[in-house]
Amino acid sequence: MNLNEFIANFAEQFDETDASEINASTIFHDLDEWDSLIALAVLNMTEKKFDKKITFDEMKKCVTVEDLFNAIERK
Amino acid sequence: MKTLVFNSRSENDMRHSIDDAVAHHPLFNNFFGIELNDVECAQINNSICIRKRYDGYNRIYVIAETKKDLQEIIASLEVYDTINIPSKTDINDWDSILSASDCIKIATYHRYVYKELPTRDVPYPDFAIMEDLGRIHTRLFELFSPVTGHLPDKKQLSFLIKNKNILVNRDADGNVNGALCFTATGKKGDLPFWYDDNADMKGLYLLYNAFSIFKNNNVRFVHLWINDSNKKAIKIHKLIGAVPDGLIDNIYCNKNFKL
Repeated sequence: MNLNEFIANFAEQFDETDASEINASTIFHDLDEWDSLIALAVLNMTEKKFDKKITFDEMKKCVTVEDLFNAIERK
Repeated sequence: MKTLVFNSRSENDMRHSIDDAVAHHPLFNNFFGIELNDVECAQINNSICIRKRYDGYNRIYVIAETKKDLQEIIASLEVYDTINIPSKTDINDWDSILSASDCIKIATYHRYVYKELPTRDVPYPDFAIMEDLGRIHTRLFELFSPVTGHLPDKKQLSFLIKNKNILVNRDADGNVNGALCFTATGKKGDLPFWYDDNADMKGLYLLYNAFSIFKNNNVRFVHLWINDSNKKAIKIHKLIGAVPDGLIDNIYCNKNFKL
């Protein structure tokens, strides 16, 4: 998995947010559409596509999409 | 058209009436084992109509031997009568009879089942305490319809709180801003209600904590009902493994009914 691949998959979890709004430095908690459902979809995606599992708490501590990618990569 | 004459009966007499109606091999039956306290019963031929009163509306259960009996019963329903028809098959006959008597379908719920209980490490939530009752009750009735959502009244909510069946999240002031109710009987668990006023992931903590408690109590599968219009809840539960089991609850009321 590389960062760009992760960003593309991350962006796919949103219904209304345009993929162009999401990049490595995006503060994902601040996105209008970010909520528990998207969080769950992202966690689900990381498990299914990348075979990595992180906790809600670890996700909560991440600020940017790149932070999240790095947290997953460390698994 | 016959007018239905309802009588109060003891719980025991009610059971006899139900057994008798079922023994006649009814073509129509939407009775699914409700508590038989505070109910009234009316009879037409070998068919019965059970009315259970709630605050501002009634629920109607019919065990009808023939289509004609069902038509007569439905035609005599009052404006505050609501009727649930849970079924795994089509309900075309019910639907046409109800439609002919000015009843409309107000909601469709699908039952979902978790055959494997999902787990995830989450911070442990609080259990609701009696002081939370008013807030939880108010919020439930703001968010959901008591008719379609089968919401607990304050007495039932109090019982659930005492039994530690309600997990909650709290805001910085200690006020409840999310609650989830879970119950278990033997190997079967249920999730009667869940709401979440948080913008973040805390609502999910409630769900995963309920599953942890289920697992610790050897619950093997969990049922829940989701309104077809609640797309977010459907997505969440499907994402973590719930599947529809084919049982659908169709809820009807008179077109002039207003709660």
